[in-house]
Amino acid sequence: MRMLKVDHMTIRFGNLIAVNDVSLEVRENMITALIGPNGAGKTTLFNGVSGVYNPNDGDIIFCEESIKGRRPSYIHNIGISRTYQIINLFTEMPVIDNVIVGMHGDLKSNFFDSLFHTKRHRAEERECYEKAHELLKFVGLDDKAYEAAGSLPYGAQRRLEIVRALASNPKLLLLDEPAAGMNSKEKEELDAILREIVKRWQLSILIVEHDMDLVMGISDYIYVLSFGKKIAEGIPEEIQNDPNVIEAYLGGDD
Amino acid sequence: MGKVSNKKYLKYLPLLIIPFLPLILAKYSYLVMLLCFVEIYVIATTGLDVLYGYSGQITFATAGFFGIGAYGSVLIHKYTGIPVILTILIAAILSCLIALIFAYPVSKLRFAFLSLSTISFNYVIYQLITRSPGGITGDFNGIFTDRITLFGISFKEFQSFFYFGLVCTIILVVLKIFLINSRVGRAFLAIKQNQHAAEGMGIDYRKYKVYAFGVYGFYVGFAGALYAHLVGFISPETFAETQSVLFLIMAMVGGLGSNWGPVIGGTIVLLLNDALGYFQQFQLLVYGILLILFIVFMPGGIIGEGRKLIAKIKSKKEVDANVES
Repeated sequence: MRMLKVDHMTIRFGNLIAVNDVSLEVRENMITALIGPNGAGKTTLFNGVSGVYNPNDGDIIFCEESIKGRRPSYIHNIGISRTYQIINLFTEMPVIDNVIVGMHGDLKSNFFDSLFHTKRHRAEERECYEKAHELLKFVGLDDKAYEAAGSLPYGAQRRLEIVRALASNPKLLLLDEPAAGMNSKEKEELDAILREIVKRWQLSILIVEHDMDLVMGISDYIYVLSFGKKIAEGIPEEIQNDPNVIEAYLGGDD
Repeated sequence: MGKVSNKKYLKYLPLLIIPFLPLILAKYSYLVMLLCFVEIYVIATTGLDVLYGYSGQITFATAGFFGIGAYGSVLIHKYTGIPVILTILIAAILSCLIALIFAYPVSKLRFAFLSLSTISFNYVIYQLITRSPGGITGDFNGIFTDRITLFGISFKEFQSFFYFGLVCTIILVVLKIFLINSRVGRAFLAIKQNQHAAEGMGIDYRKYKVYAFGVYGFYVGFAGALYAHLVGFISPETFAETQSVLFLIMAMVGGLGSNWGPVIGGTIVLLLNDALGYFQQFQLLVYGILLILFIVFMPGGIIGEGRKLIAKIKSKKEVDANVES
């Protein structure tokens, strides 16, 4: 079933067309990848989907609802969670609090529950911490739960961003270059983590990534962008042999 | 939210002396009065810490909200005859509501623009106090206030005021700690550290910025109302925008974004303020220098630097232990 549909999306910055009439689909329980050379507009497209930018044209349909022009907090709360290309953690907060902030939209305690620590609030907090510890165990960070997030090594910060995004039980996870800056061992771990996420959480992933081994290994379907335009789509084997894609990556004659 | 052990509470044992201070200092009623002021400023600084220390919104309107609480309580009492103890609460709620209304448009602003709008707000309040409609605030002449009474007993003595203030301070400080260690507190911190990511995590940042202003308005207004009924006479200069800086210094000296920073900062700066009382013309100079010193050399305030020191000593001990073994 279709989960997300980006319908002829265009995003302009002045005269620059960062995303030019791009359409793509993400299906349930699948990993869809978005690749392309630097500056192809992948992150801009992500920002268009997650509400950071409001697309100039086109539409975004998530679970039969148009989310174009909605605020990022709204989009997050209806089930699209994301990570960032440049790590975007709450660096001075403990690792575990980063994860719990990710649950913010699911928590029912209101202002006065929080102020007076009512029974409901205490029960909810206990649940939160248990769930957060579980999530941290899943990516091997539980022993660092009370350290400042900014003090973690780079690869661990990336993994923390992923579980923070998972904390809200999203239907769709947008990962923006999760393997950037990781060494090969960390990349292997990431590969396993992503597969496990799809299986355990029953969600879809849309991933932007430059590491071709990772992308070709885990993706069910791939879209290729170049200079803001979609130049190819298909299963990994098709993409690997597509002359347009090879030209875009290696550079053509013109 | 680590493991709670009994040892953790041992360090708070010295605090038990506080309720006995007025008895110890019974002969020096001036010192007891100072303690009452400490309570008031601790409450205000605690509210300021929620706004600035946790949600990251700077404000130069603290003296203005202090004034809303003070004049609010005095005038409501004067014109309706509601007991002072209730008007304090009503004035605090009024101050909270005004803060919420003010915050709604202002929550869009950051940094310099936020500072400017809060300064302007303080000017507006100051103007309203000094040129009030019908002169109800006594304008530049000030206004005499009634004392707090409870069950027919007047808290005219500083001692009785101290205990009343102490109860209020404890309740408000504990509520602040509760609020900070909750969903709302985490949202405040998330917005302060990374507004962009906070929004991406589903936090409606404007809503929480407005909440933070509301809490601040309540605390500062409450403190202002207590102040009015402690000193017995209020006049506009206490609520001028320069006084707002005093509250910021208290928060920064103690340490922003910490449970006990406002308590320590409020106490130390108030006592210092009193010591400087004899050199009033140099007060602002000293504050300015103090503020710069803290911003440059001790950005974490006394609490922050203290924590760093303890961490250093601990790690040094560990190193020593490793060397020995």
